[in-house]
Amino acid sequence: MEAVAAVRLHAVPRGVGSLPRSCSIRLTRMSTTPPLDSLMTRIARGDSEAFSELYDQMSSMVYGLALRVVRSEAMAEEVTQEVFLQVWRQASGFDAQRGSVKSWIATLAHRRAVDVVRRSQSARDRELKVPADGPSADVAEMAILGDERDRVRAALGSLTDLQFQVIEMAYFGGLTYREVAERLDTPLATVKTRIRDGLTRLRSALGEDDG
Amino acid sequence: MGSPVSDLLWVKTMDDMHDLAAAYAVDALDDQERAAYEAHLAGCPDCREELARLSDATASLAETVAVTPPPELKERVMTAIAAEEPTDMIPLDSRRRSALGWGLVAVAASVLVVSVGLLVSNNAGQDGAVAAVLEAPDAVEVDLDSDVGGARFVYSESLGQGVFTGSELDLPEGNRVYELWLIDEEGPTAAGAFRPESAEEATVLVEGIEPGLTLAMTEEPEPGLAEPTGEVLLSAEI
Repeated sequence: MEAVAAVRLHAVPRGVGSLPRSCSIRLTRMSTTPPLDSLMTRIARGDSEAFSELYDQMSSMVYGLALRVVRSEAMAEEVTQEVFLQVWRQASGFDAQRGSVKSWIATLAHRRAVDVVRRSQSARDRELKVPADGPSADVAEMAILGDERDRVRAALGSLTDLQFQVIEMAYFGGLTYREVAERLDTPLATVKTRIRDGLTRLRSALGEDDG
Repeated sequence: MGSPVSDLLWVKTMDDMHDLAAAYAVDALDDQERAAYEAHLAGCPDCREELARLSDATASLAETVAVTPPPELKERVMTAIAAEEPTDMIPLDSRRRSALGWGLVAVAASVLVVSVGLLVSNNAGQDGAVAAVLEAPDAVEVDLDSDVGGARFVYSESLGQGVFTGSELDLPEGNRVYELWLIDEEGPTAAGAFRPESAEEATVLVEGIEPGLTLAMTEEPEPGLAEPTGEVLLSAEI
């Protein structure tokens, strides 16, 4: 059932000895995997092979993020499955002009994970587990992926410890900024400002050509 | 966390709302604030733009904790999507007919009436639905031809849902309500009744949205009438 246009995008010779034509060089740029945007176009047409490739590229981000926030493998799997179902259902509405595929999927995954953890009994357990100190130790432990590694590490390094701490507690800990403020015994406005300044700094450090 | 009522009723200024973009981007708002911010977001292109930029940064954070999921998860996901039709292959007509017939009754009965600060928190699904519309990649804001206050309508074709937000709406007298209608060639269908609360603001989730319909709002003596009786206060083509 795949539409003709979807096939065309996918017609770059793969595993063939000859040099790909110039258009495919541009499309495949730094990596050998199909660009996410073109996968989304195909997924919107019901192409499950494209969906399978998208899953291969994005599932470790989704699952890892969910795992980090919900702190349960079973729940992280559930979140991952729900997020990818949502991607499948909403693919036809995806518009690359409004943001990258990666951002969209990360947003879906984080929201879902946070909602799950806040509504589940484990919210109480989680509060005991989230460290309120030593944020920089986490930076060192991070399993950062391939190409992104240096870029993200450098960007995170541009944050102050205090900025990193609140973003870590909110984003990975799933805490509200009020909870962060209570835990750090810091005024609400200060916490809000740190999150904003930290994200802004991270964004500008990552800023160059995000596609 | 047992916020005092005064906290929930706290009406935010625009500056306060703009200020919440980053906290929203990391999902660090509680349910009430999240819904309040989303009501604001529906009518604030600046915040939507800011959020789009911040979400690139949060996506990079997400990548730092990537973990390969168990291989059998992929099989489950592939099985699940095989059992679904992609949205654009569902015949719109059949979807809307059934949605209008039943879905709108449900919406009218449990209309999401939200005022900034005092928000529906007893129905997480509705909050999530509002968010899903506003964050949908195909979310579109339509121009409203309006005689009343500030009103905006953002919808997502892929979700078949829209979010109406009104601000500075006059409080209807007595028990009168505002009613939203979706109008097609067969006439109007009630799409949700509401009364603005203290801050004259309201957010209403509207189901059964698709291009070609017209959205209209009237003031009515009671919710759930079969046909509009009041004059059209605003309208928009979707």
